[in-house]
Amino acid sequence: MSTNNRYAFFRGCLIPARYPHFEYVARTILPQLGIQLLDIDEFTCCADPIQFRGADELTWLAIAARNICLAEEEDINIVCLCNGCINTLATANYLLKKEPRLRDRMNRILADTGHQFEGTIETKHYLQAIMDDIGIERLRSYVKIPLDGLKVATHTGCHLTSPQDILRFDDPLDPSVLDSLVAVLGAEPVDYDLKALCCGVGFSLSGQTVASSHLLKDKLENMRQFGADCITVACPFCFQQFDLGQQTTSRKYELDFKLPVVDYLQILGFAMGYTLEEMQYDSHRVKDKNFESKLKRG
Amino acid sequence: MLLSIKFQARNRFLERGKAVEKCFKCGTCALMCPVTRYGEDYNLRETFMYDIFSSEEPPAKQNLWSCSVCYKCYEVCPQDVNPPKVFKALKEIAFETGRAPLSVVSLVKSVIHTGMAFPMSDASRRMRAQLNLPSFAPKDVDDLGKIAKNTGLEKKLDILKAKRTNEHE
Ligand code: SF4
Ligand code: SF4
Repeated sequence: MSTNNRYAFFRGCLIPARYPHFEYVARTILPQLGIQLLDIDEFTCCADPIQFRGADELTWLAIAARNICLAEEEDINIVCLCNGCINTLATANYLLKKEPRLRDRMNRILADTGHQFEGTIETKHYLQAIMDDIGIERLRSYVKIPLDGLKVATHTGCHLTSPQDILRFDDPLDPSVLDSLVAVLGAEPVDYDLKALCCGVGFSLSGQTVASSHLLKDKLENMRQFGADCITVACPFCFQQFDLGQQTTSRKYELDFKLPVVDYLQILGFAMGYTLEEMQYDSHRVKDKNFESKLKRG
Repeated sequence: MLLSIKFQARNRFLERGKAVEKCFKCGTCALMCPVTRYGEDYNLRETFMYDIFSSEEPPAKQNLWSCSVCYKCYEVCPQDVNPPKVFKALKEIAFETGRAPLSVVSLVKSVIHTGMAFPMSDASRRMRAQLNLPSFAPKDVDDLGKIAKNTGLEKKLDILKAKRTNEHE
């Protein structure tokens, strides 16, 4: 194994506080790929690019800057597990590197904390780290049990792809990187129409449950229509929409199918030979026999 | 500009998002906007954006906070209008003037005081122990208090608190 990159492990707060099993999966899988994780106890919430940024952009930027400083002080890049986190961290890093006057202002704001933004590191979502450090071809060598016959609807999510000039990961209107990452595991990504449609997290955050269910119904039905057995995401907010939200939506619209939702690291884990139990599938709400039987190992 | 901006603080609005003047109301953004497509109040003609942009008091509109900031409108707009940027300016005004939803105010406070937007539940604590995960409790959270003081957020929160106490008396 030639890659051995150390990263500051940015857990965010939704994962440690509500979905700790994703933290467990990340700690299990990433180091095996050569992505070593260093914990920094002073990391706080990123803060989020929707509500906190809306309420007070300057403070949002300062909190993100402080988080980035902590990794700069260790001289390592950041890796995170959430689209919200990467959107905030990448945007702050981009703006503060690009605009010296903003950086000076920020460093005056940070002065009391003892941290200063230098602009020396990069911030990555784990999918970006996998693409940059390992790449599709080398990822193939980690596959022990190809996921033959499994059809996957990928949902990359908006905040990992937009704005494109800052995130530099994939085409926000026609994302394909996650599909390639799924295909290399032997599974079949389905090319459904509503792939680029947002998961609707804005509705959930603002308490608009009717709109949220309506959106999810369309998106889930479309995935199913294209033959999906499950959904793959790379963000705990998207996960929450599709998993928790699917329960509500199914009841409301009497959907006659279920699409379990797995994080990319879980599905990668299945291909590496881990079982459903080991990848913490039991912590999920939406479960489906058809999906489970496709992952049964003989 | 084809949008009719009735908003009283129009100039302040345009100052923060001048690009909105270039909008020619083609509606392309609406095709990808989840709020226009699924929000109760809109269809592809009466879009979320026109609604906010042409409202008399946009910061008072609670709908403002439904935007996912997904940037789809920004990516497809032929005129380089950046709607989420303008919404952000409006949200800041809404927040300062006490018109943001209470859930937003408590999220902001939670981050400043605990370093977390979401509190740790007992179930998660148990699960963390079961999975042998290291503890999670951000250190040096008082840094965020210092930041909030220096950015002026602390003052805004104090004003909001005083305002609310007055209203209750
Ligand atoms: S796509 Fe751009 S120009 Fe067209 S209506 Fe939307 S904001 Fe205006
Ligand atoms: S950023 Fe907001 S306004 Fe623009 S498409 Fe997304 S939800 Fe709609």
